[in-house]
Amino acid sequence: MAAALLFAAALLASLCFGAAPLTPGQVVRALLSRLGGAAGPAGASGAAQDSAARDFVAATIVWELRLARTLLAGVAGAALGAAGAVLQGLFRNPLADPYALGVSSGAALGAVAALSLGIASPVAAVTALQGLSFAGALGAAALVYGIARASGRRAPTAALLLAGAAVGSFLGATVSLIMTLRQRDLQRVFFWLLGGFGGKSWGDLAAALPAAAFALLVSMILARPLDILGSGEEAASSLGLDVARTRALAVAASSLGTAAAVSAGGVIGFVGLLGPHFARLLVGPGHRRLIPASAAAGAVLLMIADAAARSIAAPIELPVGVVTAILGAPLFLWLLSRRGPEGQGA
Amino acid sequence: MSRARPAAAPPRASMLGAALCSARGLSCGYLGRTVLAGVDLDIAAGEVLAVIGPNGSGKTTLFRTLAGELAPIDGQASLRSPRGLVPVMDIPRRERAGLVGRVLQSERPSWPASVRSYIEAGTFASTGWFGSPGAWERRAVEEAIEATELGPLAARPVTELSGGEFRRVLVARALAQKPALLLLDEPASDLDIARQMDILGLLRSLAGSGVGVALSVHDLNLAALVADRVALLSRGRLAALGPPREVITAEAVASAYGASVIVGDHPVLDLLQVVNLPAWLKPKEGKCD
Repeated sequence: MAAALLFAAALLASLCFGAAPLTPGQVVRALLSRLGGAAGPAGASGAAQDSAARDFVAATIVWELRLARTLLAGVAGAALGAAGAVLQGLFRNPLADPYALGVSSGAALGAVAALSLGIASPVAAVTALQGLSFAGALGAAALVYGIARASGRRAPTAALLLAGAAVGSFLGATVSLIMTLRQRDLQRVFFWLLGGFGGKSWGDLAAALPAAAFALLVSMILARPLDILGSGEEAASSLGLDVARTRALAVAASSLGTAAAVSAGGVIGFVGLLGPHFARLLVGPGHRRLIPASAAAGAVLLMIADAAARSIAAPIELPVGVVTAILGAPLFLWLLSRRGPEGQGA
Repeated sequence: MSRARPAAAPPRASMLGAALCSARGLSCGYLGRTVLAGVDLDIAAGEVLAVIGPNGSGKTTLFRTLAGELAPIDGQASLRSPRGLVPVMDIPRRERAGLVGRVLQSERPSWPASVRSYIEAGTFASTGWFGSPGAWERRAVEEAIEATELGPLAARPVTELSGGEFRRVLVARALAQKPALLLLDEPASDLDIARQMDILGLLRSLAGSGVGVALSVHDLNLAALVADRVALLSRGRLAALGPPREVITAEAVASAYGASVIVGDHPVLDLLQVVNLPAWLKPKEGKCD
């Protein structure tokens, strides 16, 4: 309930900000105008006509420019928030997140590979983009998990973050390599990599929604197994949990969510870290409430970050990944500093 | 061989003395490394079995194999199920969790979950991935909390408990599985002597209610204090099995651990007592033989 109110407030606020600021009243009238039937600029004369014209412009801004991208930011934020919660549950570590573990970089590599194929048909292009993003994310997540497990007996947090950094920089270098070799796509891919929702349409939203929703569904199925896994793998197994299946599904769900978000808006860091962190403060550590709350928190965070990206330097639009990193990196360091060298506490 | 211990008020009278778990010619270990071989061992309902032996002698490996977490290399490990004694690897994972509960030595909680919800994880075997705890499971949790006297701590985050309190939570979670058999890795280690007596007293009273209890323990005096029978693991085999006075002898300790001890009588209780006699300390005048 509170989450729904928060979501509505963030949506409204996000729709107000931008190169042409609107008042909340204008936004609500604009939203209602197309929900409740057509209301064109035709009408009375004088001031009333002027006001109606302004409402029409507002409705166009809201419906054609802002609503789709804001909802897309919400969907991507929800996917990242849930993916972060699942990864944190899998690694039993509140510092895990798709960005820090290199999963986003894996998705980006897949996406850049798809973009550089230069597929003309829009449906095939979106399919290739999401499919290769998912494959890249899956490969990166499985790799990081394998490395961290093999070397993480003594200092799990350090092993995990180092494995994530190593895999992430390797994948990032591969992306740079592809971009250098294929100069003609360079600028387009570069801006896409920085992350952003500028110019996104209802079609992009329709493309992102199924994958993000499916990832969230699988994440919800994992709620109780992830609770059990919090005791450690051997204890969880003795409690009757199929740890291998839980692990495989968790890697798949978080990779799919990350791939949905990266396909929609590029590489956006720290939402998958901060979403679950705020959610845990609000609803506690139980995954049955934590996963949906993390999705909601991620959606709210990214919608706000998108609004900030549009309005801080308007009319120049900042990459939203820059905004989330500026807000998120200090908090990440603060969280890291609260943990001991053994990765205990916090 | 297996001495059944009559309980005061046995709720499972029919099961008392029956083997809950049976190893026959059991060899266990890890890929390419056999840790124990030729183990014949039964654990009976209502008894406390202490497994002793030097570091690396295979106490935890034996428990892992008896619980079905590790496949036997050779021989047979079986658990008592409603179908009789069944090879443990043939029992589905969740059914197994309802037959045998484990308490691990090194478990650390990842999240500040409440004591009650941590214990509730013990009901996973009966609810599975999608179910949520029903009336039966909630009663199992409340009974486990009562048996371990954790009521006052039930709402506390597990990350804020002391070592002794958390060990009790682990026992409670295992009890919420409603197993007939409990296997505990070093439940008394890292605890002060009062907390050690608490946890051993709890295990004794669980055995009194008909649960079969096996624990590994380093302190031989604690083994003598709590156990009906003692199993000594040494040099890759089960070196001795029987009542404490038969197994814990100065000769057996010297042979298994390479430690020099005197085994005498407890001054007050009808128990044996093990006293260290290290070579680097000189005995008192007139006390040397």
